[in-house]
Amino acid sequence: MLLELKNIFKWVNSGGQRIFLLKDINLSVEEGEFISVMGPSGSGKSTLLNVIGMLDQFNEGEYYFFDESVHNLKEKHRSNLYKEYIGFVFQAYHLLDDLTVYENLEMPLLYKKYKGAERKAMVADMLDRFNIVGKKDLFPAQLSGGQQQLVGVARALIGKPKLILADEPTGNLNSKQGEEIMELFKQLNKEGVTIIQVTHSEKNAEYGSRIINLLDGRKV
Amino acid sequence: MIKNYIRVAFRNLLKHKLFSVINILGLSVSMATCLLIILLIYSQKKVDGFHEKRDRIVRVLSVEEGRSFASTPLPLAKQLSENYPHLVEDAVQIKSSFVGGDVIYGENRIPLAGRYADDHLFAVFDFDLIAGDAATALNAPFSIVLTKTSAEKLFGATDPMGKSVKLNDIGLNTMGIDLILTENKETFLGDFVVTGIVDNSLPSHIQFDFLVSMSTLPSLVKQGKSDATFDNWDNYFDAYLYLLLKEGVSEKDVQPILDDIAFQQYNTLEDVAIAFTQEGLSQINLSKFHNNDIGLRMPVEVIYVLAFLGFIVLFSACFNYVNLSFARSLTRSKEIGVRKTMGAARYQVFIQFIMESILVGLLSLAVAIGLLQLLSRMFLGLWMNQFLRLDFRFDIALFLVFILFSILVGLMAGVLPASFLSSFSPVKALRNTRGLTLGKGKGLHLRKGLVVLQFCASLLFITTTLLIFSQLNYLMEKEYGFDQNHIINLKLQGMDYGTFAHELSKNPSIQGISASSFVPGTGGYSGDVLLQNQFTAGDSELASSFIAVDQNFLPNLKIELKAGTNFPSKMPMHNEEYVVLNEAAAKLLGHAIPENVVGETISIGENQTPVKVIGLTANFIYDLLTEAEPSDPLVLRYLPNEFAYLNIRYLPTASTTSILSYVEQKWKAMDKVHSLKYNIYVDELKGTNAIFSDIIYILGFISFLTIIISTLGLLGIAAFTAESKRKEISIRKVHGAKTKNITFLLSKGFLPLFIIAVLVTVPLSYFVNSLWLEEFAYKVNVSPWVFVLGIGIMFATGFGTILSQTLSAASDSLLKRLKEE
Repeated sequence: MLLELKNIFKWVNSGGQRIFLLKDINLSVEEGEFISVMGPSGSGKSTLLNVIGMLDQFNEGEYYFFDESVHNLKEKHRSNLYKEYIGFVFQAYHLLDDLTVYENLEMPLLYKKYKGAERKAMVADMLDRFNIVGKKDLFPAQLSGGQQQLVGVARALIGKPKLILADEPTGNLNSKQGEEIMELFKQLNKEGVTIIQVTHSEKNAEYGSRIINLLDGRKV
Repeated sequence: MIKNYIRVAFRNLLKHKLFSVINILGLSVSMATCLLIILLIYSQKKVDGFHEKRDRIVRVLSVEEGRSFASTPLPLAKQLSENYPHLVEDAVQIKSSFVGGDVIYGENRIPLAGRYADDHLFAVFDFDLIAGDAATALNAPFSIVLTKTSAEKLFGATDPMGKSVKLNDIGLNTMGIDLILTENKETFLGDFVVTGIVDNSLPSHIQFDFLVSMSTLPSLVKQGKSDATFDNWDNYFDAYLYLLLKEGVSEKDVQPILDDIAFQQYNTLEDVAIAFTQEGLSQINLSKFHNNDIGLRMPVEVIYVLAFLGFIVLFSACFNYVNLSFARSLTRSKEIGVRKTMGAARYQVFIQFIMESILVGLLSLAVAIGLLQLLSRMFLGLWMNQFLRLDFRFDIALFLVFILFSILVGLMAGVLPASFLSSFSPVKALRNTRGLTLGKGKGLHLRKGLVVLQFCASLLFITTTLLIFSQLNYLMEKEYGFDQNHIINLKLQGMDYGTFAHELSKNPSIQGISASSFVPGTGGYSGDVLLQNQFTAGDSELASSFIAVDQNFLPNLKIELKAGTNFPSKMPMHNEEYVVLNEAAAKLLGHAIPENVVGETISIGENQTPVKVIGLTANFIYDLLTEAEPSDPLVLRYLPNEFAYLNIRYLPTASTTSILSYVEQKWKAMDKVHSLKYNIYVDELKGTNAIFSDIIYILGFISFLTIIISTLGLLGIAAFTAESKRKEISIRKVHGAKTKNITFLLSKGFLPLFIIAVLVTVPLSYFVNSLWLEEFAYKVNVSPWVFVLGIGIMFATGFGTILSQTLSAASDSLLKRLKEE
């Protein structure tokens, strides 16, 4: 088992009322799964993803990741955990505008204390694998949306994560570009990477092995 | 990793040019002022660094009633070196009074200033003796050691060693400044043998043109040419004492002995309570102010004040950095979010931002070093610096200090923004890609506070500068009570004044000639004299300053005679018969109506000489304007022996230059030795306020900088406010808001800050400025107009800046903005 959520609640207080963002979520994810999270806007998809990614806290419940109880971990340990095992892909790509493609790919490695030579090899490997060697010195603004997201995925993969969390990875792309990214995910999944994606598109959800539907913070 | 940080930092600086320029410009001008202060301290620290035993050399100080004196009693040296050889390896004394005068070799006669020094001087200090034997040079009586420069002046190409020179004491001190008590008499000290040449080009706090062996003194005392006493413990003005401590002995070990000696000597005396303290050689040049110091130097208090001013400017520039960085958190939030999701820990983000600010600090240093060249030249041009030995050359150590300083400044400026920016939670930072809204949270309060502080500092500096300026103006315009126009004062330098005056009076353009012991208003002083009459017979403490004048003095300077008459034209040369008092002196003697003093016989001096008061003058200002009080009493006495200056009044129609050339020609005819020393009275009086122009110069510059820096800061903040509200501006414009409405909307936020600053600063400035103005008897009032003007200047610059930004934002095309959202 890669991770398990047990009775997860998350809420915010607004005007004296408690508004639930996540309500009693139970979920277990095995290694090698490809899960699509679906639901209308505001149903808690992104929140769930952030909770799984340990970027966001929850108020109640238990969360085990590789048998580590995340809910009991200190901030520093949590960040070490996600740093090591989780890669993120965003709808808006979130590449750093001031860095070249090469530097964007290198950035996560800097925080994982790889040596210079190792970083060089890993980035070169990734550029090669995604066929973007020729673009390594360009800045994100010089790339198309599809290319930017390709770099985004490459960046998520470079630390060799066990789990990729993708928040509407094709949301800003046209259908052809989107298809390419989804094919890429499928390929990665075959190679053994666990993927959880949030999506609006039925078609994209089909790429996954399992679909989770959310409505008002609840699994349906 | 660091390479990566620096790369990102550079790209960021280039991308946001306005902010980079504001930050670097502000930091570099403020850093340049701080570098100047570092340079100043550094150059002062270098003084005396060449003495190898410097760590073991201490100077003994005397303290009486909380006032410290650099000088000590003459017998102290012997006491210490004879009785405590286990602590004190050697002791050197340099006599404090001056052997200033003409050194004569053959036809050559050159005014030089020297000191009496112990024979051990060259054993303790490492002055570079280029000829002569260090061990014996100052041994024998009537030995003289010349500096290389004075030897060249006196002997030219001839070898001076073993030659005999004559020494004529005319009371010249080492700074080449006239003594306050002008010795008018020349004393021929004797023939001296040159026993050494010393190269004193390395900076030391001990300055001299020549040294004379201390062993000369006893024979001079015998001949009545010196009043030095080697067994008088009461006179602690006489000598400077330097101790060379034994290896391993510290000041702490010596202090109890000094305390003991002071106790033995002064315990039984009622009115003398002197204590001794010490000061290491390396601290001497940078220590606090001492009375009767061996030479002029910049006391550490001045450096504190300068450093304080420098730090205010520096803080102001750092505020800008903090302010702008906080404002820019908007554009950086996405980056922070991404970096954190990719695994960056808080400290890593923190380090990244700190690196950025250090980089800005280093870039500013480069600009600042350029500015420093300009600034140091300006600083060296200040009046006060002609008295200091400033060595502003660069070396590696100094450069390292500069780099360290700029890193420190970077840290100082960066630590707040870095800790704020690195605290962002990644989810929030990413969710809101338009950033954390400007205008909420602790960041905003801090920013507003900093803007207020900058406003305050600017206003305080502007008002203070204005007040100092008006005080100086007031002093410049102040009537002294005599007419200083068309008067030349010349120093008699031993010339017989009667003969010379007679020569001068042949020129029809010269209206009047008088003599005095000092020139009123220029800081001269002839001494105090005790006064008594029938009202004050019981009071033996009444004293007044006096000035020796001839019978022409009052009419010549057009001093108003209130009652009685001037000195009669025929006066006896010796026995003092008459005096003229000023009104304050009459009041001192108990006359409510000052005129009544005329005709009274009073007794003056220690001997209670009876003299008749024949005249009463109005109170004219005779002391320095900055020191003078309206109630300072003055006795005008006819003492021809004390005459040291001639006051020459010439016709307003005559040209000053032609008068001067006439005087010079006559002078040369009568005195082949001394060159003519003169001052044009009007200029001389203005010159006495020169320290003020320095202060105005410095403060004016500082206030200029603070205004520039805070204006830059405002510019940045205003630009950013406009930037962050562009969506709001567009929406309002779509709904019909006019440019002026929007401009008002954007600008009004600054008004409360401005008002708070005014409310805080006006009373503060009033208080601070009243404080120093209190020191002056003649002073301007703190006028409300000063504040109105200051606030006006602030308002104009501040809101001019803000408007320039808000106006351009408000008039921007609107659809473009909305589309971008």
